[in-house]
Amino acid sequence: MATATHISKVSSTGSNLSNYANAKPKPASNIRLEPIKFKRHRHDRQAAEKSATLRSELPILRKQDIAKFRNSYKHNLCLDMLTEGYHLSFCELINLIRQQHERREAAGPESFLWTKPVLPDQPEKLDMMKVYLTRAEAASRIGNYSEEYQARYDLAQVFKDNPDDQWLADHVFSTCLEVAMKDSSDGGKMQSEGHCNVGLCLQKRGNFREAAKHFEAYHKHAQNHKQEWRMSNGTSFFIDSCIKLYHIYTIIGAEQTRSGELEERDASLETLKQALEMAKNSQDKKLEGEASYNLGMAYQRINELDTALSHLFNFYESCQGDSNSEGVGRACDSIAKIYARQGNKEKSVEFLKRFVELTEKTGLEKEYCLACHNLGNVCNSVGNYDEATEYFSKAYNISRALGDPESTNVNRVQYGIAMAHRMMGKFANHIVVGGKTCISRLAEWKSVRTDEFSKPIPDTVPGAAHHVVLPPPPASKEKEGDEEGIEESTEPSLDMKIDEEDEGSAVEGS
Amino acid sequence: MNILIMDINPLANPKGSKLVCEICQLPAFVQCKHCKLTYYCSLEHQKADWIGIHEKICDKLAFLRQATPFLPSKEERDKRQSQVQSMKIDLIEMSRTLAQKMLFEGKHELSVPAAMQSLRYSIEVYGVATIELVPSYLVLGEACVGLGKLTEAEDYLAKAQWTVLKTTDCPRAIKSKLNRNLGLLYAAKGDFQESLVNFADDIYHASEEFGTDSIRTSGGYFHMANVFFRQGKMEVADSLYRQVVNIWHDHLSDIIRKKVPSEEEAAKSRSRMIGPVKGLFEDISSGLDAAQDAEAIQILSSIYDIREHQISRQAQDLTRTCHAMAMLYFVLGEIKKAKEFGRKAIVASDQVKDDDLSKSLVEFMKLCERQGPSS
Repeated sequence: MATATHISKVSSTGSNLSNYANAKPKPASNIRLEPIKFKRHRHDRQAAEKSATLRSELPILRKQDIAKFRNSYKHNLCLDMLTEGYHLSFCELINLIRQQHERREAAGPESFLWTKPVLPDQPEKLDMMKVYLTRAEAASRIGNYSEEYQARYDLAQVFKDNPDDQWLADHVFSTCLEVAMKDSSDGGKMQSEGHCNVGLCLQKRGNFREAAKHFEAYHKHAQNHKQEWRMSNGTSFFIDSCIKLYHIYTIIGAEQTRSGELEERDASLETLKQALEMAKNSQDKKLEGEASYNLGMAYQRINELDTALSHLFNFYESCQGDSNSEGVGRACDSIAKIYARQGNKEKSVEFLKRFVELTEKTGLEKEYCLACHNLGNVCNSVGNYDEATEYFSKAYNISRALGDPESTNVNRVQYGIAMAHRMMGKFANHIVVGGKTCISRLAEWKSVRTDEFSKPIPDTVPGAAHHVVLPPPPASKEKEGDEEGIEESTEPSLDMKIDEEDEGSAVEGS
Repeated sequence: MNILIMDINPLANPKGSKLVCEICQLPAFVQCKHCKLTYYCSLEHQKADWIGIHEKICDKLAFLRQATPFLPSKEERDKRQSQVQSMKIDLIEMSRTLAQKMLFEGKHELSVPAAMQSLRYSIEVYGVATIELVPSYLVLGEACVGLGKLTEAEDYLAKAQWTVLKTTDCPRAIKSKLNRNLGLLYAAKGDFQESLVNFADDIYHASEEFGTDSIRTSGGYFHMANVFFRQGKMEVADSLYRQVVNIWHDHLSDIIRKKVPSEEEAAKSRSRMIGPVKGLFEDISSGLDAAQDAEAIQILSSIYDIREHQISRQAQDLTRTCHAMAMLYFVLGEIKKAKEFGRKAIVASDQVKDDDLSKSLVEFMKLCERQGPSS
């Protein structure tokens, strides 16, 4: 405002002077106007000179210069874009800003979004968007779609790494795809790339089904050009699309398995099969193995144990192929569980033992603990209490060393149960045999819990003390133990309860 | 029309009262016979005023200009006061819209009386330097630009600009209007760069207020396109014209979709009706005010002209323009013209491989046929 009044003053004095000049009889054009002379103080003169020099230093302001101060940065940027004729870029920018504003308003001042900086406050970002968007628009105007695509793609690359700008990247990638759709001169390479990018964005946002659709389109395009189309690092588009599809199918499959509806769970099998197919196409053994494992587990869940086994064996072999000990362990574990469910105890024990050995060798403590626990469980269920005790004690010690309270507790209880089971036979035998020694041993145990049952009972056949009178626990209990092994991680508290009850009954039985 | 005038003799006027012309403020010799309260210096000015605005506001003026009757109670006085005030505001609104409409129709000369009228009453109601005067100044400015009186136009617009500048919370709609008129002024002067800056400002403000794809923003795009067109930057102008057509196309199809009852409803109402089938959608209205109607016609028909004479046009552009025109005439109730443009659109669409577009065109023509008999 100060400048405005300043200027108006100047102009008014100017007009006065001209009036004055016109009033003079002499023609004003060829004679320069002399300033009216009157005596001035030195102070005044100095002040006048000073103000004159200051004024000459001031730049002459044009309208645009004034606007620069008066308007916001965004406003000026938009004006620049529009005067150059980039109206579509302008629309896009304004709509993006508006979209962000609306989302912020909807989220409210308490939300996390509110703390994030908005676009109009980030001049560098606006500048960058202007540069790329105008370049894209200029290219689109002359119909050069690949150039337009490139400009938009570059812009998206800028936003990609910042999680706050993810929505911008999403938007730009989807416009990239739109551009690519318009141009099919390169056989769809641009389109496939566009689909891939949009798919990745959707996957990041958690919209897996939509992402899968885009990846499928990507795959379809890439299928026809398996060899020609390669990325900058040499991987072909086709393989890349297979890997991406494998990942997305696996995620969807897992999601479907978790869902409560039966149909969904059926569909999950199909999805996982597709994932396996894609993994096979990608020629990556490791992925193929993983896919087989997932499919195997899915079959196991719906009780198709034979199919499950065959898939799991695939996984086992692939893991052995590239000596992935963690994978082999996982395979052994799952295979053993399936054998256990089929009632094939020997096989089950065999695989579990392999699992234990392997983990012992490779020093995977946690897996080793789990392996011991599972093996203990199986031994327990077949009545091989000595071994069960041994494995549970191992598991118990390891879990204690690992400092994992949950598994420590579970293993402690199981260890107790196994010990009780081991003792129970001999205990019962002592009662059956009777006699003074036996009674005294029983009494001793009752008062101070000294375990002398393993000693031979006098006046009997040697080994009679070891004679097992009690049968192995009933089948239903066996199943519980089995399930407990599977779901150990998910429901530890429930297991604990069951185990404690078991122990209680065992003690009561004695 | 002549019967509406009555000669008066200035010498016979009562002492102290000076009767001046409504238009040019010179001593008056003629008087409107209808209201007897409006005076003119000559027949020409009376005619101009009559066509421009007076015909529509004669009654209102008669009410406003009559001497205030004596009212004994304060309540009655207050009541009359508020009545007068609301009538004045009505008058301002009406004359301004009318002036704007005539501007869009290209009748610049005729719009001046209406604009003056609105300015006069705005000053009376709101005061001298207030933001409410700005629209009237803008209309006057635009009229002057249209008439080629650039200095006068600059005067009016400068007044408007100064008022806008001083008003801190000036509505964006007014800012956008102001910039549009300034842009037109500079374009008329031939200063294209300056006019582009002003149009850009117009578009910016309108977008902030109404959104980038509003019909109220489209005017800015259109004028900007014209400037680019005159500068010879054809591809920019082309893309701007395309956007303008798209905005109107979408807007008009929205209107039609909302107003036209669905098939079942139509069938129901037909079965209920007895006698000759009447037009099914008599209540179709454009949902636009008079000025916007005129603006739409102006914009779309000039774009249509450009497209028709363009050599390297794309068939799709022409189709969309024709379709938009047809819909516009349909909405305005001119079915014959709507059909004509619909046919043109179909002809143009033969070269476009776009099923959606042709389908919507065919549907639109059916609609025209159904609506047809009533008109």
